[in-house]
Amino acid sequence: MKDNAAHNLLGLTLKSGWKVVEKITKTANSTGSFFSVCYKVEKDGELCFLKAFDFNRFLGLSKMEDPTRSVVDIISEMTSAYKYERDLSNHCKNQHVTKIAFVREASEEHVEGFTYSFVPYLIFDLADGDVRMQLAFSDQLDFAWKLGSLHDIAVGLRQLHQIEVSHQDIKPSNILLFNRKSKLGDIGRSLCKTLNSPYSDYTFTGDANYAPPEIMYAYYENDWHKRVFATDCYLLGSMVVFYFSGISMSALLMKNLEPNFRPESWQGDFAQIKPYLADAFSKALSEFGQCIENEFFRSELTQTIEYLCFPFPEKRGHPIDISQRGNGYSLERFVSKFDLLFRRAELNIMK
Amino acid sequence: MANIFENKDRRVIPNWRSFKKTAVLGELDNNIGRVNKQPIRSLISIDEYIEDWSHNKTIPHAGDLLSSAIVNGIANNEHVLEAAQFILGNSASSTLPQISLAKRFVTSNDKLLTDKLENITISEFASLVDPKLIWNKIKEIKAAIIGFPYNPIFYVELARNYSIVGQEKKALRAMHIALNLSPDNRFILRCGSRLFAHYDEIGIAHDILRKTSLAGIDPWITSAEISLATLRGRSSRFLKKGFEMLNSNNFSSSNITELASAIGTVELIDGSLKKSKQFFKKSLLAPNDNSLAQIEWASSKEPSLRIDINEFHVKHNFEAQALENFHSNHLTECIDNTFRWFLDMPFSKRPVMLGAHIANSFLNDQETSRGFLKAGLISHPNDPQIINNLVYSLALENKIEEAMKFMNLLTDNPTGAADITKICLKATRGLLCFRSGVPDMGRSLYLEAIEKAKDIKNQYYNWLAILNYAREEILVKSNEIETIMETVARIPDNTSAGDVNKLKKEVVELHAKSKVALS
Repeated sequence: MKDNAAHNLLGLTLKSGWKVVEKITKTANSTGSFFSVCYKVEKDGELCFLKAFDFNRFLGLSKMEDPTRSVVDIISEMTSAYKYERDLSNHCKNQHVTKIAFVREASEEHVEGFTYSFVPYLIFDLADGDVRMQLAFSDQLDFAWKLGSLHDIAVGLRQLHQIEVSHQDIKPSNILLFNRKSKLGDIGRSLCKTLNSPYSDYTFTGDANYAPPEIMYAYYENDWHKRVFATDCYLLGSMVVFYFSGISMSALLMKNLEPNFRPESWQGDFAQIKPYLADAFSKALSEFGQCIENEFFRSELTQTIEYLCFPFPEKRGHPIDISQRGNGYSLERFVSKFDLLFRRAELNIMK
Repeated sequence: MANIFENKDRRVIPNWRSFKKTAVLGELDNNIGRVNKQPIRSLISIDEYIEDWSHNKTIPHAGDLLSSAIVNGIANNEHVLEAAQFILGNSASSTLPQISLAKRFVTSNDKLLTDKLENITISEFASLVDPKLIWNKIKEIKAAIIGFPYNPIFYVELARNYSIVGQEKKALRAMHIALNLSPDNRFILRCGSRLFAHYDEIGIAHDILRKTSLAGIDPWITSAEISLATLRGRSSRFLKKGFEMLNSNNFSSSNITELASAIGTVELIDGSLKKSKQFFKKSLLAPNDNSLAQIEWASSKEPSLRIDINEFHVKHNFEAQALENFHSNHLTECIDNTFRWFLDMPFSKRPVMLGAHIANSFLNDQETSRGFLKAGLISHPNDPQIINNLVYSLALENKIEEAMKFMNLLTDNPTGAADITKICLKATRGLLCFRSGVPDMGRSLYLEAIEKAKDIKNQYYNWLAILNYAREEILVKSNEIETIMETVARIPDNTSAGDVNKLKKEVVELHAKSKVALS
């Protein structure tokens, strides 16, 4: 880390006036991006979160993936990624999106004495942590909070979808908490129909560990809207699974799938794997049901996951929307569902 | 008189096991046309999750790490193992899926599902053959279907379990639903064809295979299609495609073993022994239980095809082993392997008939024989062959009341029963009459059975009827005894049928003893 400007910001007062007061090792406060170094910064008594783009790491990983790539291309890609995250954040803010962690400030710092002295950075509101710090699986009081949080996530996603943005990277480390309210973090890997994205040619831009089955098996829709919104539906459902079972939907699926059918083993087409995925999915749903004692909530949440995470994208989403609109990727009904469940859970607590 | 196990014409019809076991045995692996291609998905780094876990030792972080590990098939990473142990050590704060996932990482899966049957012996018969277990399974599957009615695998499993308890209509209905939900899937098509063939619906069994888009593309479907076409008396239009697949080098040997075996059988039936041998040789490059059982059967028709099946280490190879034990007269091993074969495919009648035959005719173990037969009646209620053999076994031990109870399940002339079964039933009724104290009627029924067997020129059943009749005449100290013993004397001592030789010896000895007693 010696010859790495991004790792050596601690103690500096940046041109923007922010004083870097603490370096954050990979903790719950991180936004999940793997190419960045995170700090706490302070200005006028306010603490915020700074994400410094780590050029060295970006360069190292890019070279590892493709040793023939030129440094100029890699710099250009990283700069695009930085600009894209900043512009997308502004785009969302201007379109009245409320449930995401916005970029408050974007700038760059020149730090003397390093091979690559240029450090672009983004400043966000400082979250209390990601959702993994809050989740407890044995606490009944937490139940209503979980549903409230899921409602926040669903609202955030719906807001993004309404402005043709697909988050693509919803996972526990990207659900940030601000006074127990949840917001979506790390929109850096999101796809936007109206902005030029460095990832626009990618089929899936999020964390492959959370990817939906069609992505794992390299089968996907050519239609942009269908593909990306189907992915977001799955990821939202996967969060529901994580909130109550403590593992992801993909993990539950793989757990119930025979090794011969796993994506790295399977060499047939997606059509042939479908019955086996359906079988694993139904077993996963029944396993998920074991995590919820209350029959009403068990049934409602299992059904919600069935709709959101169905392993075949064309059958994913609310069945009424599938039959009426041809696809079920609208999140309107799910926002209402989480709101209803949240209120009902709150009433149950008060009883 | 017992209706014996006949090693009748065998075709390479798919064996039908539970979905999980079929998958474990590799029958559903898919590398059609992709033998040398790389996997679609490469594994992904889980470093980010390890780093998160190393800074945050909490249950959710452990769950997140285990999730990424199972998605990537990572089992032996020290951080993953630590997270798994953490969850198991804090099970009160963890969820059931987390706990069961954590157990996957920390416990070694040394006892494979397919190994369970390997060490079972006939002594465990009573504890393992219980229809209640199947009905409970049916209940579980039906409950699962309510929760998820679109899973075709559930319906296949339901059909299998219904067929095990002899619920033909329900089994067929469940299979039709599975086929409607997923009409072009290898597992469902193969199971479907097996079920329809099991209930003698050969036309339907064949049609679902020949009409699927997989016929001529998937060797597992093509092999079954070719086999069912020959059973239907037709020539398969996918034979040429089958040859091409075998010669294409596009498929691994294990994926074409049944196809090679099916085509080898067609060539054998057509009289092309040389070609047949070539195909069977190909099927043995990586045989499965079905292709091995097929060549074991083929070798009983054509001795030059004989192989030593013990050279092949094939999982669930019980049918081939049982048949080999039977042919080589290793009867104790045979009964164990037959029992394993039955447990592996409890809806099948062949292991029932073989097990009962060995126990009855060779081992004089009527209890085991009846165990097989009663187990067979679960999947084949009112089957005349099984009931006949059960009544015969009971009557031999003078359990007349129970024998009558089973015999009364049948009409005098059951429809659909083969001529030989009808002859056996007549003789068995004769036996019941003798043992019930009505020898005149018994004599008449036996003589009728002897004549009928002679009429259809079946020497084996003719001899069996004569010997059984003679035994009864000796036991009732009849005046006819010397006349019938003259007929017995005309039966050769060393026929090709071991059970006839054994029964003749017993009758002659019984006669000698009775003469000594009289003098």
